[in-house]
Amino acid sequence: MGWLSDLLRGGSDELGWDDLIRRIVEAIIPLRSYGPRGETAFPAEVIVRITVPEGSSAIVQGFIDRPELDREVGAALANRCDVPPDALPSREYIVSAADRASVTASEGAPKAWRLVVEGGDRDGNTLELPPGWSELAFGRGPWHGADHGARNDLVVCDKTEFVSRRAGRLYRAGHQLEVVSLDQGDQLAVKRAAGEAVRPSRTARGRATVKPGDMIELGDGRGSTLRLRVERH
Amino acid sequence: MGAIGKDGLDQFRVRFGELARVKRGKAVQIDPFLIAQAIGLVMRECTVRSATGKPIVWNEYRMILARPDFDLVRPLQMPLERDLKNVLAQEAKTRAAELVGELRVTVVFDEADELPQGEGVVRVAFVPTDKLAAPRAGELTMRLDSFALAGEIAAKPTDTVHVADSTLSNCSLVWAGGSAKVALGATIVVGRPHPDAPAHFIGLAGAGATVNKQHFWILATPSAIKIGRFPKANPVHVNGQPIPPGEEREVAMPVEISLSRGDLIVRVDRR
Repeated sequence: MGWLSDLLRGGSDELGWDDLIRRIVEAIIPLRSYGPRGETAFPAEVIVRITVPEGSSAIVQGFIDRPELDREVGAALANRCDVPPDALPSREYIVSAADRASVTASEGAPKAWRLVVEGGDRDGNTLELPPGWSELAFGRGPWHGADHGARNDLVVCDKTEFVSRRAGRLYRAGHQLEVVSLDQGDQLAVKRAAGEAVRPSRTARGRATVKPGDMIELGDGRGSTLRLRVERH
Repeated sequence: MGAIGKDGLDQFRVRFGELARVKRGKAVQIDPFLIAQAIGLVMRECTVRSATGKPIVWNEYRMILARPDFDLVRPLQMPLERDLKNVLAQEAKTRAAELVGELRVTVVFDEADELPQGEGVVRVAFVPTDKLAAPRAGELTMRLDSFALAGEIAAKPTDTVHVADSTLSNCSLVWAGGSAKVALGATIVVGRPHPDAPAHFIGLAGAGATVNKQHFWILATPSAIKIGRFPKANPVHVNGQPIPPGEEREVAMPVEISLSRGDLIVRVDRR
């Protein structure tokens, strides 16, 4: 009855939000293998290639650009394979136009992320984000918290005082990043290439989406700034 | 569905349509009263209690509205935030609840434009703020209503000038970059010099970045001295003994205070 459900959903070339999540999950599941004690193992990184007819590619790209999609894929995959979320592979999505809709997944190494520091006492430094990461803390100096009990994964400066020790946290969300402002408060903003600025502390989710080419700007509210240029290579 | 839903430990979702009891599908006009109602309801959701069983409520509230809703209240933002403080202070009083600092209420719009119209998000937090020390005997707080010259101090009308009885000062703080007298009976914040320093503050001139802007507080009494480390401050050792974050010690003079594991040594001694 596959043809009937396809018909009810508008045809196999239509990819709605739920269909897309289901098909991505079904494409990734065959990549799992089993360890010596029967535990499920995935490759560290997978690339999901989605092809859609020309007219639908903008819509599907819009879905992919929403961080919730990758979160829902992760939740569905964890449920289906009965694995903890941290055992799931990092996912990268590539949308292209073709005659028919298809979703395929393969093991691969997606492009790496890096942040280029502009300003502060580490001006010009490049911070490479490690492969397979899902969450990274960043701020001033290597340590923060009472008695310096917590570690920054990314040190953006050493003595630039308007940058908090526990400035913010980066999350990976599919083919883009999300940033949360911690002690930096309203003085952390994502500046888009088009000039738009979004402060994560002033969004409903508390997070702002970051894409390659964007700047994460840390300021003191009086004009001094340290910028992190986001790049993929 | 209720008007207030919990999105997380520190975040609540407000459905203004439910709050205003408008018919489903009809647009709701957001006004300051609705916002105040919503934040008041969120305050009631706080179930935190002090060790003595007394309720403690959040003191920081940020209401995030959809941009079109915010545009409706934008002209009223200043009086709105002021009135919200009064409403919340009243609500806290009604509940006999404690606050860990001054009430802070801000109303902003969702910069990511993800919130649907008619919905809001309230983010809450406990943000401790330092209270000014209460005036003691021999100390007078004067609020000036016009420009005035008193001795060598020029004061603006909005300034609060603390006039202390310097004869009661019996100890001083000495460090590599300078020294300062410590008045008896007043809680004084000590840290790296900075522009927005609180009242009763000693700036440790020459202190490096490892010394916090508000590193510790000091209270001199006739017989001893109390020293407290701020919760987020770097390590403080008094006569070689560490003070855990947020805690205090009472010791006899002279005292040696080591900041950030010896980055700066401050001595407190009788004059």
